[in-house]
Amino acid sequence: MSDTVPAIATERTQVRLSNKAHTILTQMKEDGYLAEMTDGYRLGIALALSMGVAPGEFPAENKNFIAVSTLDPSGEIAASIRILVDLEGQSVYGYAERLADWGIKEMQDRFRGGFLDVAKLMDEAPALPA
Amino acid sequence: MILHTLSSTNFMPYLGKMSINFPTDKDRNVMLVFGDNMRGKTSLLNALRWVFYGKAIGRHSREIALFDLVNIEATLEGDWSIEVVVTFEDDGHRYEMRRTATKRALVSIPSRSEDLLMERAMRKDDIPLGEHLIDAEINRFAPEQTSRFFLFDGELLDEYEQLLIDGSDQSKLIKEAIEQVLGVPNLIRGRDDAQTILKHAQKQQTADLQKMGGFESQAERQRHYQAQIESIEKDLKGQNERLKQVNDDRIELDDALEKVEALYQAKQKFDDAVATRKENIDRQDDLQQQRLLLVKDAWKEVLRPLLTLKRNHIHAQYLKLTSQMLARDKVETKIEQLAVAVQSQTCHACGQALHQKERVAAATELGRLQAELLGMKLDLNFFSKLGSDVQSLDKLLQPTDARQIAFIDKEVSRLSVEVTKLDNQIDALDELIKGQDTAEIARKRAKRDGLLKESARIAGDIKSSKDTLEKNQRELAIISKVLEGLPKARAAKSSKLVKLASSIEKAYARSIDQLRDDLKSTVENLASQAFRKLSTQSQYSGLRINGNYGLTILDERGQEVPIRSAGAEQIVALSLIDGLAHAGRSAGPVVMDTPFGRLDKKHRANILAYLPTTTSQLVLFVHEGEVDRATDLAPLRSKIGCVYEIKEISLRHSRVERINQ
Amino acid sequence: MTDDNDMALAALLKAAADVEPALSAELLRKSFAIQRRHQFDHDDIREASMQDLKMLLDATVDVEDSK
Repeated sequence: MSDTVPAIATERTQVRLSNKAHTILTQMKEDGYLAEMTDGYRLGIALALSMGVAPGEFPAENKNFIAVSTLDPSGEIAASIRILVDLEGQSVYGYAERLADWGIKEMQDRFRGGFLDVAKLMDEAPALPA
Repeated sequence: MILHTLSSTNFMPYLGKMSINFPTDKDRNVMLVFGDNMRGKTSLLNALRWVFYGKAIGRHSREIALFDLVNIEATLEGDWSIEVVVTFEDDGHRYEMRRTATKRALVSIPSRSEDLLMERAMRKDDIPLGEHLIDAEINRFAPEQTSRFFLFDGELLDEYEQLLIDGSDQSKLIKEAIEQVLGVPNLIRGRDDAQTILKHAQKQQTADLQKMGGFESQAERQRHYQAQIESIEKDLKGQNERLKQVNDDRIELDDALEKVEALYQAKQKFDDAVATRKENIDRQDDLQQQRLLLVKDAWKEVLRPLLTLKRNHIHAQYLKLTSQMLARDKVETKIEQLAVAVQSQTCHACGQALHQKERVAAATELGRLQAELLGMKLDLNFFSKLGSDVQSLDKLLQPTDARQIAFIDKEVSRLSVEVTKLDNQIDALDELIKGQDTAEIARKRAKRDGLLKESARIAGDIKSSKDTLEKNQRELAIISKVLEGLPKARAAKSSKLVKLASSIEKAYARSIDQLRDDLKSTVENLASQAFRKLSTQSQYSGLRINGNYGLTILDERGQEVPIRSAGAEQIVALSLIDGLAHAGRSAGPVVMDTPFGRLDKKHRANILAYLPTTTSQLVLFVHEGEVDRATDLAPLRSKIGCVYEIKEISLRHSRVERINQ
Repeated sequence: MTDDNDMALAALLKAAADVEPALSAELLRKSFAIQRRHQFDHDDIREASMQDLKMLLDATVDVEDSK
């Protein structure tokens, strides 16, 4: 973390997906676990947030995924991130991208490409002290 | 009749030669035959049945085809000959009865009963009897109609219990068998013969009367009714024949259906399983659709715990700040009041002038409070942010239905298990019904049901015909009565014959009921006596007999005991058999199962002690596992003449061996 | 098998005494003997007993006529 107060970053209008995460979500949709890949994207964000991870740099191999207005029409995702994380001037959707990437890979690890046990994700969601 | 030996060649499971000797000592008249082999036991009974009557009986009292009597192992060796020989004595004479069946000359490999030729021979005191005399001999000591009481298969006990079920087919057959033993059919036939003679005599009388002057109208009426009666009797004959045909067809279909009943049921189960499987799959698909919709909100549920915690934390801060603000307000108000008091030198509460001391105190307090206020800094922006955060969180924490996913997953999983089970069932059933014509089975069932209806319809027609017949017969009887009173008519020989035949017919008709009543009371007494010896319940005083020779137990007050155990049923049945044996025929050999299935030790002991006294020879088939050889048969020990054991060598080969006690 | 036949005969005689007292016991015994003789006949020779009974009744009527 830098000592200087960073300038507030320009907000993204599109969120991206790493190639790897893209493959994972495509497969999950094909396997019938997700109605849309966006549902998996949001789950990834929520999973990473709930575990309090500080996601790393966004992978270089990536592509544009979806408009922010489609991903988060009511702004609830942004609100959740802002409440739980001290963004220190970072773009909230830029942060969301990195959370999503981490979360999607985490789901792949946990379920090894098999049944996406969403009920388990909900049951085991931690409540880490703020 | 006393049996001496029974031997056979290739009969049923007894491959090759089989031979047993019956006990002939009056005091040691019991023969025990041990064996697990149910078939072996039935086959021994059937050997006796077959040698005497040329018939063997299988399940449900159905006759076993001759073809199926030849031992299978023997036929595989090309040996199609079977033989049974029995030697016995009766009324001071020695007999040997032999029955054989062999392959017909022009048949290479028999494939049905017609390919076998059955023959029999009997010797009486070593002299061969003419074929035409054999039946009469057999009828003297072991008529086929009464063989039920002589060749006594254990299943018969169950049949007797049927007697309590009025109107069942079985009860009718058994009732007929009992009455056969006890002489009722003789009277029935006497009545029928007299009726036939009466009819002919009446016809002759009509012809005679027509020739006599003055009786033309009575003769005409008599002729009319006789013609009616003849016509109805002809119809009845046709109806009965038709009924028999329909029933025979139905029984044949029943047999065929019984064989394929399992298949029919399997097809039903198959169809049900396929339908249920489809329902389950459809339901699973529905649930999957619901699940996908719910997954959209699942991310909120993932965050819920954390957000809830955050909200609680923020809310606590908010409350803390709120109370700080209230405290500050209080202090500010107090400062204001004190400042006014100090300046105006009056108490803010009561408005009275303040003394010097009080003024000083107020000023001191004022100063203290002003200093305190300085330390009460409030970050209103922060307070406002806390408030709006709480509001945001409340919005985020609005409930969703995503938690239903857990229930859906469980249900989908359960349905998967069900579907797998059904798949296995379906595969198994498919194997079973593959290649079978289940439509044909359904057709046969429908046909059978149709025949059942037809049978009922014909029975209705028969009843109606009988009613009309009776009416006409009554009219005819009236005319006869009138004619009897007219001297000229009375004098005709045919009239005399009519009168005589009519009297005989009436006497026989009445005697049937008379005999039935007499028999019932005799059988009742004898069965009661037997029952008292066999039962262990001292408060049972005896038995009462009903119209179908069913029996109810009476207690010491002569009241009917309404509920009986299965064991009691057997005792009652045995009592009936023994009562019949004493009422109807001389004690002859009895071949039976040990009726031990449902009886306790005390009852068994009673039966074993009693049975040998009721018959000249007793052959008991004992099932291993049903009795303890060492203890249960103790009451018989002194009466046992010989012991055999049926050994099952293979599925198609059994052997009977004599063993030492 | 005499016991049961005696019971049947006894029932016949008793019934006749009740409803047809004029019938001779001798005739009844003879008719019953016919039935007993034919009791196990097969169906195809069922008529034999009826023929025998007819002969008996004819003879009885003839005897009465000649008195």
